[in-house]
Amino acid sequence: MGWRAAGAILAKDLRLELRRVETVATMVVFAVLVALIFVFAGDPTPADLRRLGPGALWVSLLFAGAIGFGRWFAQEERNQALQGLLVSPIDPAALFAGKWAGATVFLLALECVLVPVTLTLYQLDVRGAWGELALLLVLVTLGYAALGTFFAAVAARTTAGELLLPILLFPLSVPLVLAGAEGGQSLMEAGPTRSYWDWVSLAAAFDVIFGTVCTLAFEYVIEE
Amino acid sequence: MTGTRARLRVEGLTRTYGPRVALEDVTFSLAAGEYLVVLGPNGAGKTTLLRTLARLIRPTAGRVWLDEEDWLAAPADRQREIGVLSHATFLYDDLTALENLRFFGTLYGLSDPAGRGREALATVGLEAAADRRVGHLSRGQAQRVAIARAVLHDPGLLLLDEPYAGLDPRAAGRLSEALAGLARAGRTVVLTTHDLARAPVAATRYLILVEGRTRSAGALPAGDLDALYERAVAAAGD
Repeated sequence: MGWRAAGAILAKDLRLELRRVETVATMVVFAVLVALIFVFAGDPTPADLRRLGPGALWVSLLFAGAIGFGRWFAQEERNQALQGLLVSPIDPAALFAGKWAGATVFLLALECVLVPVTLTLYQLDVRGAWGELALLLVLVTLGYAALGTFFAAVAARTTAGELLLPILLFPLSVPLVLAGAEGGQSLMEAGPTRSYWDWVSLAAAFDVIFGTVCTLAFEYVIEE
Repeated sequence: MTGTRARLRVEGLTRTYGPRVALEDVTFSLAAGEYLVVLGPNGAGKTTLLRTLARLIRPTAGRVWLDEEDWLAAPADRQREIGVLSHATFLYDDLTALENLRFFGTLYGLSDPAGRGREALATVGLEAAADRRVGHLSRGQAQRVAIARAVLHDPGLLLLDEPYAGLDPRAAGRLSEALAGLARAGRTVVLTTHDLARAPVAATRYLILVEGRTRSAGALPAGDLDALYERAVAAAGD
């Protein structure tokens, strides 16, 4: 696979996003609003909030991510830029890797705002296990970014892409949300216990399986 | 082969979309350095032909050889042997002209993509626009940046798909000058257009497609291209 090409695509995507900012900024606002809605819905007690918190974090990320994936791939459709990539000597796997890495960076940037906000709103205590929390966040984000990048490419080739993307994306993301929410819950209730590591293993296995499948299948998604 | 002339041979190229035949049994060959203009009304299969040659779509049947190599089976890195220009620029509006060229130059594995990008911009007379975002350029200027992108890696074969679409007469004139310069440099060129007035003076061969089939083909200059075209289209309508 062409790592230089993948790096060029990542650098290009970062430059484009830094220049416009709008997609990540919109995602941050949207994700924080979703997290807030859970706090105000049903007048929850502090105990309810602590129980809901990890799930709310991942649901917020899931919804905000779905907005971002569509936008990041749409920029390849403007001026048919994707065709420019496809006529160049680039391995489709490298193209996917570059787009996947970009989506991961954007989601992690979003989490830099969303995680502190959610921890505060939901009165969550990480018990000092910041490294373990970061590991869980990175693993779940990697898997979600792989799925999102893949299905954004699928959706971009259809007429009802924006409607199709969440329908394709959310059902397959359930194991990741479970890993994130349950792993996070375990971490905040009892620290990095066996249960936490089981969920981390699930997220890691998901990343390996779906990362590989999406990378290999990407060439068939983008061809006409 | 990059940077040298390319020989192209197409045999029985066919592409169908379900029951619809977009391209049927198209055959032609080009010697190194020849310039083929593909003419035909809208829906004739010109774009399908170019996209198949660019390996953006797979043909249903047929073979293509580039310098005697089975082009359709060649690995992806052989794409550096062709340059593709379309009516769409393939560029990113929010990157500058030079950033776009540097990006594509990196994908093509050039050792100095920025330097080569500046050279390519100079070729199309747009050095001064290097640091302007493509989205802020006029349609004609953006299309010239697209030419720079297409020749950035010095390909032997240029595939030009309706490059004049959407250009005003002045911009089209400047594009013609730029394309004529590329032809003089000795590249093998395939250009499609539905507009006879845009058939380049530099063309050495022609191919007229109607409803996916070759209606007429030959060397230029050999008679009146206008008359050949009218005859071919009229014959197809009979």
